[in-house]
Amino acid sequence: MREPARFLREPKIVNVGAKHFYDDLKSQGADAVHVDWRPPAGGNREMADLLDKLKKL
Amino acid sequence: MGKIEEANEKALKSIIEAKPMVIGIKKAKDVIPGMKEHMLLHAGPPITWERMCDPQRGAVMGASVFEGWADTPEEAAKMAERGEIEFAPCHDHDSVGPMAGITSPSMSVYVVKNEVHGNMTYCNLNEGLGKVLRYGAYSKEVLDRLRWMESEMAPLLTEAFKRSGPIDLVGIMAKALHMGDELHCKNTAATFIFLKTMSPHMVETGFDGKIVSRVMEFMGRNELTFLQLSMAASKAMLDAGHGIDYSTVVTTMTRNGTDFGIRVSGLPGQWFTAPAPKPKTLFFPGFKEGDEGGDIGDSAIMETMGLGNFACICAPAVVQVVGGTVKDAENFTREMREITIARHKAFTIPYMNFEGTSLGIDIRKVVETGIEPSINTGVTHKKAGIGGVGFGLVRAPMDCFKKALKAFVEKYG
Repeated sequence: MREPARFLREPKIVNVGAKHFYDDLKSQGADAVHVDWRPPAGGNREMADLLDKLKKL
Repeated sequence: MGKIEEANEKALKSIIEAKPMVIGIKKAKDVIPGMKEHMLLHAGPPITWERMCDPQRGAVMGASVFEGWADTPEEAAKMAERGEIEFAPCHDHDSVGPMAGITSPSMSVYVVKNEVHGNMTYCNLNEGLGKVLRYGAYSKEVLDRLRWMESEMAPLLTEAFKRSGPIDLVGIMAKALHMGDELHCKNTAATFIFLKTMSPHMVETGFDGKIVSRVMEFMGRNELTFLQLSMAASKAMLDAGHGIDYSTVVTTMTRNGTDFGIRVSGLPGQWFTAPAPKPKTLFFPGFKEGDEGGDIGDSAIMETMGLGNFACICAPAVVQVVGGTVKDAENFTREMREITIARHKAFTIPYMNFEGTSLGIDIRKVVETGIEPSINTGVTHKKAGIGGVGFGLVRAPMDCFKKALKAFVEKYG
């Protein structure tokens, strides 16, 4: 059986969002980076609607 | 280009082109618009005596005794309770004041003029660190120092300014950013440049050598001497961009220990407030967690201008003071780029290949990203009479920006 490609044996991980996943990966020695992404307006529908209204101006 | 983008461009152009110059020193009652007898200006958004935090009350009491309105601080407190003292934000009177920010009619203030747009700003003189009026202390030692500043320091500087002529504040601030200052908690280089500039003129006044020596020693020992000028200059620049219809640029961030308040260029006359948070503090020896008061001071004008914490990579020593690392300083600086929409041209960051400092906090970006502006700050004791307890980091409350966004859509949407 063929050996898996190197990138499958040594994954490089980009963690987006919840940082505790990244923390867990790093504690196990994984090669990972964290992207501090959050949903627009923190997921607040009222604020997101207000921001959308301003896009029309 | 949309109406908001066009308005923001106009506001930022004015802010960047502004040229604040310090032109002299005058008594507050002679120059600050609307200043009158039995009136005290304060840091932060509007507040009543009943809601004032203890340190700001302490400063009110001290200033009232300084003015001769009361013989004791306790008598001053009773005057305030009876409504015999009128309070107003410094910001509503073209002024700024660090920490409690109490500015009284007889206090001397720096007079700053924006030579491009003509607007003026004012700020009182810095007393130093520790047990001082602006941190809520009001002992005899505090009042004696204020009286000395009025009897020797202000008259000497007044005469010195007549000889020096107007002094370019942007020039000093730009140099200081290259010399390890962030211009909020660290004004060391700016203070020394200012003292270097003024000292020949101070000597030339012909005042007694001992007076000149005392004043120069006081200003040199106090590495926050230039903070008042950093603040007045920043207000002069930001005010030039205030009142532009459709602009979402934040032109004021300030706090009074009880409330945190912001103002937005396209929403003149309105304050948007939320409870003032407590700073994450590195305490001076002898103080501990639980001693700190609420976030206080007009000095958040520095971060509004894209300096202070927004440029803290220029002054890694400041982050060290509050327990961070150089990498933290860079992270703060880069993070604040996410909520701003321009770069200054005169203020540049050596560590980041001389890129301009961030400018133009946009209420839309703050709400959209969830990133609250980060502020370096001095910290008062929660009780009046004690003074400063350390330095800290604090975030501007998101609620201020959400309220501003709602009001903006109501007006323009």
